[in-house]
Amino acid sequence: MKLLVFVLNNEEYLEKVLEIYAEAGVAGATILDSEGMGRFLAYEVPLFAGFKEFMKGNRPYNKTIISVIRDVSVIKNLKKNINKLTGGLNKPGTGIMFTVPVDWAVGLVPEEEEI
Amino acid sequence: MLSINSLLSSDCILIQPNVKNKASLIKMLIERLEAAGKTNNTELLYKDVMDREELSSTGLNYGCAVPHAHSTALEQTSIAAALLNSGIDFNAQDGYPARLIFLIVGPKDQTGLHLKLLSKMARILNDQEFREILLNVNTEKDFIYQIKNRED
Repeated sequence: MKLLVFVLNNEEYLEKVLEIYAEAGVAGATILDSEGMGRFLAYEVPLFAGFKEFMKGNRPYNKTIISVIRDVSVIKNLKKNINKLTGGLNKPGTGIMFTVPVDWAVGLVPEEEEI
Repeated sequence: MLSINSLLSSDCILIQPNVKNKASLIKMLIERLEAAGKTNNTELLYKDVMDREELSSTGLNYGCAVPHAHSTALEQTSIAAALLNSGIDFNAQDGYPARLIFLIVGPKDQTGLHLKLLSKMARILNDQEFREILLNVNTEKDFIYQIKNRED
């Protein structure tokens, strides 16, 4: 069991990303409004206001999608389709995706109710 | 490891200079950087620092200020500092005039270093005990020594 975390910088992709999740067999996910550290420092902390010029072109806000994945085999397919959609997460500013092991969870959608 | 003391030399420190306002202090600090061979375009550097001042306050609370700028007027990130007898206004949130001033300037391609230095400066200047020590030094050498001591 893994926790999949995806920070999606281009919010316009959110709908498509969730379709990819659903298609891959991810039953549920939590979507959080988030923002990058650089954006927060440059726009919210006066001392760092001079860094605004380096934020040009960067997206101010992003979405963070977290989901507990029971069947880790779905991640491979999901990753492939996310890369296709975004043009590859290796491209700077696209997003960050990672997993961490989960040793216990409660409250997940029962497997029989999964899409 | 990133250190403030390695970028600050004693000839770029002003201990209780006779200065009345922010603009003249920044000019004096930039002149020190020029004399130390860090920049040969003081006018541009002054303009870049003052443009940044226009953007928002570089005054920290507790009588400290960290004016700074990215500039094409120099090739290496450099620091100059001043310890003032009576503070000058840097428009800090707490309203206190600044007595400890650190000018950080660097080229546009060293933004990572610039960000680290600013953050480190803000962190160590938040330490009341350290501020008290710095406010009571009498020489440039002691000023650097105290910073090095705090960083080690």
